[in-house]
Amino acid sequence: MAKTSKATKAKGTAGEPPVDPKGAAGEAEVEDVFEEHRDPEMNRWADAIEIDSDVFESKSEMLSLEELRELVAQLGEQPGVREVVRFVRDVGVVRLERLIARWLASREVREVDEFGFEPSFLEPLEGIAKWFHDNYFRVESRGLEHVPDAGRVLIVANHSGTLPYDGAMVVTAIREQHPSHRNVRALVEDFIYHVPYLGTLMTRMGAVRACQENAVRLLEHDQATLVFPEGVKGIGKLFRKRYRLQRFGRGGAIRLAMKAKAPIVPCAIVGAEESMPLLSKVGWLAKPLGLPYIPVTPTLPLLGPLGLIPYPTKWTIDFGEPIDIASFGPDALNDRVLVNRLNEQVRSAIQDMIDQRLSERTSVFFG
Amino acid sequence: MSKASGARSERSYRVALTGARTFFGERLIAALEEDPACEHIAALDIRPPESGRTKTRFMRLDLTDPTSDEQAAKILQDDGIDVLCHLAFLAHPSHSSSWAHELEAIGSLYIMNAAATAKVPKVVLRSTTAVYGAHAMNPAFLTEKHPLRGERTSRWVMDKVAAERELARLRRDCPQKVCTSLRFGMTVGPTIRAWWGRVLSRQTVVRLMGYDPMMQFLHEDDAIAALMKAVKEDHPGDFNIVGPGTLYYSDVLKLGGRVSVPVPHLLGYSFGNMLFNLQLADAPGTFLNYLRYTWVADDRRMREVMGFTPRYSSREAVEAFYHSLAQKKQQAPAASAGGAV
Repeated sequence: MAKTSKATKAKGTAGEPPVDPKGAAGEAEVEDVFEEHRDPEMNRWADAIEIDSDVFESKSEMLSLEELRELVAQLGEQPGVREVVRFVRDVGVVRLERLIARWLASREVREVDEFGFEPSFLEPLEGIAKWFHDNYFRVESRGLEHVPDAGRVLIVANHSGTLPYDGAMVVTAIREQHPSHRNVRALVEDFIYHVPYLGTLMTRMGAVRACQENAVRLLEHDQATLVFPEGVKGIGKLFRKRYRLQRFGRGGAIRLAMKAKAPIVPCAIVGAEESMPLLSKVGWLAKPLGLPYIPVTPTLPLLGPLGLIPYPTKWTIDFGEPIDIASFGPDALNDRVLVNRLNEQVRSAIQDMIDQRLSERTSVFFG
Repeated sequence: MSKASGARSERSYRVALTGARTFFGERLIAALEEDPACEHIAALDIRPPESGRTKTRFMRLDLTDPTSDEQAAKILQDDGIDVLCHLAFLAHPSHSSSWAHELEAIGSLYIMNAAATAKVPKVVLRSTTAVYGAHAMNPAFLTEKHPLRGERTSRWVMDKVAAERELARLRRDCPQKVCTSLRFGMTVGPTIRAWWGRVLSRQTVVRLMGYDPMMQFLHEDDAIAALMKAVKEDHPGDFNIVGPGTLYYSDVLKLGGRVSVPVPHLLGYSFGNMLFNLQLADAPGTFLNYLRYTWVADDRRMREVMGFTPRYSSREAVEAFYHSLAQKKQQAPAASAGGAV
């Protein structure tokens, strides 16, 4: 190693004269800049470096410092470059600081309600949901005045679209467009609590596992509660069965409204079915993952995670007239036939709203 | 507490308690010694309690002994006991699970039978909310009516469930008896030792990847106050005794400044069992369910029916626990961590 470096040095000194004038001129100027730093010791080192680098043929083509400066100056005159630099300096650094601050803040205990809903967790996601609501699905909500500004209410909606984007959109619609901007707590299917991350994520976002005890407690706290009585049957129905409401469970939603004395607001979501048409379901792979099924859509297994993106269909959400369930006495709770009749009544109200909206619709993507 | 039972405090009472040498036994004896209405304390255990003073009479009773029901009945009758507190439970899952089963499940059977024979008017059982079990299908708040599913593969939990079943049987057989079950949430504090306290006091704490259940805690002082209330006043039925408020498990660890080690749940169970069998872990793998699913109990019955309000919220109890740990570490770094529960 040492031997070769010596050899190159010798060779370098021999080849000193043919250095081209351009490079020499550049060096001379650089020397001027650093004149005051010159001392014999440093000089020797600097020479050694010069001679060493002389081996490379590209040396003559290398940019001098002055040329580099010129180039940067030219680049700075290009349109937009200055702005980009300023953006990185002003915004990027601030963003970085904020990221660090957020990471530090993650070490502190944040405010949650008794179910585990963490409003500060939802805040950054709200922007995304709002963008999907306003610009992607262009959700058009009607009858928002049927949702009361305060007090308990049970919103009963049809479930569709392979992945529960419909729940997120109803929550966003009420948060953004309802005059009270109230939070809606969605009741979600059991299976997500078996799946790692998913259960915790949904809980932090304010969802609550769908069971009578939880729902009654939510309504007793005067929360607006969103429920999809069809459950997995609804979200997992095939595309050819779109907008045909499945059985509404065993009347749990009705009994819930009776117990908590809450009005029921029927809600019809149109457009969600086409945003992720479910062509087939794979069962055998789903079981070990704790999922009810693996969906197959035109894009889902083909494009990998990209397939999770829904298609930009035009959505409408209709809220219907509140159905007063609370007026039935406490005996009604045990009258299963009555419960089932009311269940069918709510179901047909939603089905009618859907059919009405479907007949008005001319295009899936443009409404 | 004294003002709540103002009218009743005149009525003197005689108490017997099993498991006098456990944490609950010691602290309850100390509290009863202070209470002027308490005439007599019959302390039953295999070792004498340390907090016994003038009123306490220690009698050796081994609940794993098949004749212990007869011995207990005799003591209860001779001493004219008004209240029997059954506190003889292990706070740690035991490696000798069949001995633990004899002590907890069969011991409870003997004690309940003795109480029936000796016609003790009131029986108070110290239970835990772990008897509901940690399941994905649990509601966010478990009421006392919820079935006691326990943890099928854990003897420690199922023995507690068996004790509850014995109390329920006693309640059915002797309807005039006041049978109280106090289901304590995870009880933490400066002096109590139990498996969850041991788990949480480690510098690195296990967490299941992707699971973050809600948790609730009870301060040990509140646990003793609830026991005293149940002894002095008549509150038949089951009660969840838990601190108000809930916390995420991750927040508990943040409050303690603990480092959490995420473990995939598919590995965690067998790994946990292995570590427990090697006596390196505090609890077998099946206890990871308690770090996986929510098992938060509803405290409405405690507040509304029993009229008991804990002084510490869940969060304050955790903070007090970690504060005491930090103090202990400062004061006596060489202090031993072993000893009785």
